[in-house]
Amino acid sequence: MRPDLRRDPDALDRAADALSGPAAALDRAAAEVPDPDRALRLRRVAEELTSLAAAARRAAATTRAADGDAARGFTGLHDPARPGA
Amino acid sequence: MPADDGVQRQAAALRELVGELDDTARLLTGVRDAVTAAWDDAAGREWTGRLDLVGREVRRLADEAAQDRAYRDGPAGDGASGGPAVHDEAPAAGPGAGGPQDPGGVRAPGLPGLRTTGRRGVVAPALPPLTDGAPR
Repeated sequence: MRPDLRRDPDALDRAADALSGPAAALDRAAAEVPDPDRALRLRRVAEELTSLAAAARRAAATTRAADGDAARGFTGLHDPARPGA
Repeated sequence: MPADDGVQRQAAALRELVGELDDTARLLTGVRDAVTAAWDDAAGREWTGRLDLVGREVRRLADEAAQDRAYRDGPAGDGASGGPAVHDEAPAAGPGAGGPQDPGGVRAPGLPGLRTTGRRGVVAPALPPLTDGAPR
């Protein structure tokens, strides 16, 4: 994990996976609730959980990409085959 | 009896919904703790802030569904003996009535508590009735 990003991509992916289950379950529950106000609130909660899961996955992906770039830059900088490295 | 079946189905659906929401609230608490440690920057704090709002709404929904369930079950646990639900469609009169879903009365800020009776205001103590027209 890069110290300036301060993100653990594996933990963020696990959090996203954990949020996906209840999001789907609450969306299903909203379809069976007779009170339209409560059904709407359940759907909003499900949508927000889905959005949060997507944001956590994006953050994990950008962190991995940044980690990969940093690692490539570091190995290129210290490549003994490169003159002047 | 079909009406009883409907009431029992509603009660079972409410029980299931309360369980689902309670499980979700517990899970969100765990996810929040994990992400707080794993995503320690401004974007992460914004994310956990959004999750907190969702968690609060989930707990509110769970409390309201539990209130409905308790009210429908009634004191004897009979689904047909309960009075009107907390989310009764009939609007209540008075300053607390904010819309068709509002049961009226005082709503404590930030809490899901609702006053469920129609009685409002201060009740002045009544003097005992005079029997012979003279004070005792």
